[in-house]
Amino acid sequence: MDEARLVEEYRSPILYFVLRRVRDRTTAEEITQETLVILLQAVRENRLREEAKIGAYIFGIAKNLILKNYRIQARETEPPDLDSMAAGWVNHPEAELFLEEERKNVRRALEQLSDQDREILHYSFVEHEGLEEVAAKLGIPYAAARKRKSRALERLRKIFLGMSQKGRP
Amino acid sequence: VKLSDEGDERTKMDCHTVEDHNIIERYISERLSGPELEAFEQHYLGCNKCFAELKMRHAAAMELSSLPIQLQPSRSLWMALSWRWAFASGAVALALLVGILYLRPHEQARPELPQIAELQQPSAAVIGQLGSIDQIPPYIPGVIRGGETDPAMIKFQEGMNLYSMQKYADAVSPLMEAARLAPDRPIIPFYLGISYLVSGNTDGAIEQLQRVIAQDNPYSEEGHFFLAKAYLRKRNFSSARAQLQTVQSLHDAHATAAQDLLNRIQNF
Repeated sequence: MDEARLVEEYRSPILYFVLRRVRDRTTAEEITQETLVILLQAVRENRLREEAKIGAYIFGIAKNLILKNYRIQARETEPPDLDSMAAGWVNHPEAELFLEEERKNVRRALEQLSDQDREILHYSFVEHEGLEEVAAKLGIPYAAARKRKSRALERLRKIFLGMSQKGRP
Repeated sequence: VKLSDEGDERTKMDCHTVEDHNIIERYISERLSGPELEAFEQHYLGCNKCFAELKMRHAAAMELSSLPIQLQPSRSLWMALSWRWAFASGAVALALLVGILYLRPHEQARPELPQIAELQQPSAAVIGQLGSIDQIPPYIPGVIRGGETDPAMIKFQEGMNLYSMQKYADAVSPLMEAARLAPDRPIIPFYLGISYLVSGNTDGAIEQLQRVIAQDNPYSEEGHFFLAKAYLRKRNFSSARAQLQTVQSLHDAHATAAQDLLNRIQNF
């Protein structure tokens, strides 16, 4: 496996995963870097034969490094549960910064959607309502709500991908 | 750092599970159970496609929360009111009709029904125009880290490379093989149907596009539109009309084109 490609492909998801818990860009970058070094070492020593299992391997390394970092920072206290560290991530300033490019393209894509599309996405993404609740709110059958949401997402994705590709050097 | 080189395999998660179980939105809103959460994080750390989708939906959640949305009033209430108004107007109309009938004692001869307009038979040139495809659906390939390993998707990619080079007739064979290996993925019959349609095999296109619309999926509404085009080529106007009406009811990107075609075939 090409090492440069490996670093390029896995850096962003690792940083997102770590930042979701650590909430400090510098620390998250350090943990990401350390994770990548361990990953590269495993690849060099041929310990990772199946690429399909890389996600699970990265998860294990990054998780341990996050907890290790917590122990160093707050020596006396027990490290919190890894899941509870992620609370409130969706609108966190670090998440806003990390997703700056995506937000710009999504905003433009949303402007091109119909009110009906934006409405169903609003119910799903902002109000976190399940399809049954959305269907009841809109006064339409469940299958129609499912279809409407799937179509709205598909349209968003198409416009978003078109913009993301345009923006590439 | 001590861990198993092969990671934890207790909970299986793949791209289909992610979509079918609404995993990304539940991840963003922190509603995944412990094992689901762990399995999804392990998955997206190794799946470029799902990570890209996660970033897009996370960004959408942020933007939608700050975007003023014109929410419609509750439809159930609105519909209930509409029905009441409809019922009230119907009752008034019925009363008027009964009144008119009672006030007109002299029976009049029934007017003759207007003659049904003779059905037109469109020329081959008109059929060619109606069944033509102005814009062939583009294909945007997804990127899988480490390359595709699923044999069906390898064949699909092979076909779609030819499709992207506008070699539609050549794309048919690998796409057929992909459809045989993975009969449950609607993306394959969709692009196979389009390849057939563009390369002139209308019967093949109808067969594949019928598979696409059989189930609700992201390709079904475009499937209805292109199936209508295939029916038009076969001069099967009633089936084309039914498909175009479905497209119209979905208010999709093809709704205007569907209305235009419906107007043009109304006398056929």
